[in-house]
Amino acid sequence: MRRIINIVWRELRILRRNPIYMVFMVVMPIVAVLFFTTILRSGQPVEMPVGVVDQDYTPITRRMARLLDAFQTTRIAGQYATVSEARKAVQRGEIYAFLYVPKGTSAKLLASRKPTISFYYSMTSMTSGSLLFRDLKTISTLGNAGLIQASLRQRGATEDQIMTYLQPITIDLHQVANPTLDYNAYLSTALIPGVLTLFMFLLAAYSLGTELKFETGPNLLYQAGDNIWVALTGKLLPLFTISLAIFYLYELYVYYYLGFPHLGGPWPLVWLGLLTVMASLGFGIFMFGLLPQLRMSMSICSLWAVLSFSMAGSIFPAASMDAPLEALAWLFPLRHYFMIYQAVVFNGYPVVGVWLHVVALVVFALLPLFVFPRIKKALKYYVYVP
Amino acid sequence: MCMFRRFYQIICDVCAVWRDEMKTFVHDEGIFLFCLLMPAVYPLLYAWIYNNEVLREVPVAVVDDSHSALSREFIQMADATPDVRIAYHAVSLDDARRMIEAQQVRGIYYIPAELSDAVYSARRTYISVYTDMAMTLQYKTIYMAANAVVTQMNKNIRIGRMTKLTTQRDEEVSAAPLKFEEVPIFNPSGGYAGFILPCVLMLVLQQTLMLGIGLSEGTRRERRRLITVARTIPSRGYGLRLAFGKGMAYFMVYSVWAAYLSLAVPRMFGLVMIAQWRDLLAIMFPYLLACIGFGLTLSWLVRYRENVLLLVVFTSVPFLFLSGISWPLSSLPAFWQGFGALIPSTYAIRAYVRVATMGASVADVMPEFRALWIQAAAYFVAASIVMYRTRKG
Repeated sequence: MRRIINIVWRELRILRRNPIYMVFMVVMPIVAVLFFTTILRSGQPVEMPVGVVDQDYTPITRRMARLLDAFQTTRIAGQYATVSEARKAVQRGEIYAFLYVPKGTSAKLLASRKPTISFYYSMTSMTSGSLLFRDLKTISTLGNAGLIQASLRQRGATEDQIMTYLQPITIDLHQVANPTLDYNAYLSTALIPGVLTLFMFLLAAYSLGTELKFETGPNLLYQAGDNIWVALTGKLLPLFTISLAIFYLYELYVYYYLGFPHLGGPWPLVWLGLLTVMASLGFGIFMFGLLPQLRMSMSICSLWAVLSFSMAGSIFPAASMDAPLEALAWLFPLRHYFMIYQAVVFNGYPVVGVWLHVVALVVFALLPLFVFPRIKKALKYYVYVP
Repeated sequence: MCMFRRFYQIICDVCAVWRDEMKTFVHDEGIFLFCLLMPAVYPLLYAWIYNNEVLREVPVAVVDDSHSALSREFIQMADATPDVRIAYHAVSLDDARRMIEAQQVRGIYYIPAELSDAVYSARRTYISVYTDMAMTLQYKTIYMAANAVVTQMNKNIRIGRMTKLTTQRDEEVSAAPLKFEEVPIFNPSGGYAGFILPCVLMLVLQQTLMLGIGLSEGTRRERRRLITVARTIPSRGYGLRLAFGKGMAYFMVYSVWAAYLSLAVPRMFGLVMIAQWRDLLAIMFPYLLACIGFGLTLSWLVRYRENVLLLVVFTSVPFLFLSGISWPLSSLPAFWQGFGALIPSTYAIRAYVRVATMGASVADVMPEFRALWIQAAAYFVAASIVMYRTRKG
């Protein structure tokens, strides 16, 4: 016990001396949290610029353009004379979509000849593309509804009859747990833990690897009485404590200050945070044990961490990837974090549904046990080759 | 003559530094990994991950309290869409909720008992859609599928109710007097790969360059010695010669990668690629220069070679956001837009996406083109200063 405390003191001295630790353990995680939460603060993109190509220019078509402008997500940024001019504007990045009303639309409409109106939207940007598409759907329903409404009213139908006629069946949508479709609550909760686990991977490998690099490994073992358990416990305790504190701070900030949905209540946040930190550090230590060399272990950790963002399946679901990839996703701690998070924290479902992911995180946390002997050997005999 | 000789000397120095840098390229495992292996493998990996582009057959549970011809029509039509799959017929909402909790399905369609009665007695009714909001793509797919089916059913019901009209054409026109046509342009399949991959390709270029340059400069600093050839270079113009020499080495290797990432990979995976070679070249050339200058400048922060990994790796996702492709530029806070102006990838991604997938010309991406050249110039000056300062060891 005394030895562990001594090593903790030794480690704290190292942490103080090398600014890298403070920067990447504390400062950068905070910057990352603020970055994502401020960028996505609006929740949903609003007032995205769109264009109008109105070649008919009658009261009916102008009303349609106004309808488009009235949506929260869109703003009419320009009127263009031709489709190719509008296309040019999309290419220049001035607008994301445009409405094309060909000449003679109103005349055809009055003559019941079913004119066509087109809505061109660029899908090179997924978020804006799909939001604009949703608006277009609404407009096409409303546009048609308005016309039918007028003709029915002339025939003396009541408002209720008209609505029943227009939409005999409506969709009653329940967006469970995130009713406002807040992108901040959805993206930040996947990307920020990704960045935090990335730092934990790298710092675990870094703090062990620098012992080799500066050839202080034998000294560490000597202080621990040649006991690798004592040495690693003391060595990693400060890193673990600070990482855990940062993770809890992040959770406190987003769930209680920003009020992100967490139907699961506070307890899942506590144990999931603990498990994630242990699994991430465990992965870093394990990688170092496999490749007891600062450079290689850190390189592998960074490759893994960068892939985690995609493999977690938070944006493009893992279930929709090719089958081998869905299986490989099990090798990424962030994937398990996300699966547990979305079921237990976000939706408040019981843990039973995702118990395998909990087991996986525990396994990641225990992985280092297999490589303790290797780490000991490395600390003792390894000579740093740059 | 004297001027010519001086000029010749400068060229010689630059070439010597260039050659020296190329040697470390081959000898250093780390640089080999990040500058030669990663740019080759990473794009392929990402292309594989997003290979399927769109979500198909998302599992959904259905609760049919109506048990009527209409409710069965809804279920069949929903199941027939490519988007969702009716995975489970639940007896009650609670039953269906248990399936969601067990992660077997992602949403519930609930059909109330009154559906058929209401429709035939001309009352309004509803079909409920409950979706798991943890993943928006799944939510969107489940909702859109139900929406499309209901819209179609409504139209049929409306036509069925029209008795006074005569021809079928009349019925169609009255049911929907105006036809709306949706045309997705520039990524017609609306796929995820077509949207994210071009951004990733540009980012891989910048991030691996930064890692490679950081590793190489970090090693040199750690060993606290100058390159052997650099000893003979006079202090006047030292920084500039070193920056150019090193820049040439990276430029040489990365010209190949730039071509591979911007031309070969999109073709291999069938992404939209309609760029003219001149436009593409005009974007990639200043982008590479800006990245190299940026990397050399940032190497100033690297005390030990491994620190560069910590410094660079985590920035990938934030840089992606700053480019304004995944999150509309009009919604980025001004502060972060300003910060993004410092990063070459911000402009390169915007320009590349428009040139490659939208067929824009250089004239259309003029602001980005200018910004990249300004960055290239500014970062080379900064890099020269950094190089000059490291001269003292």
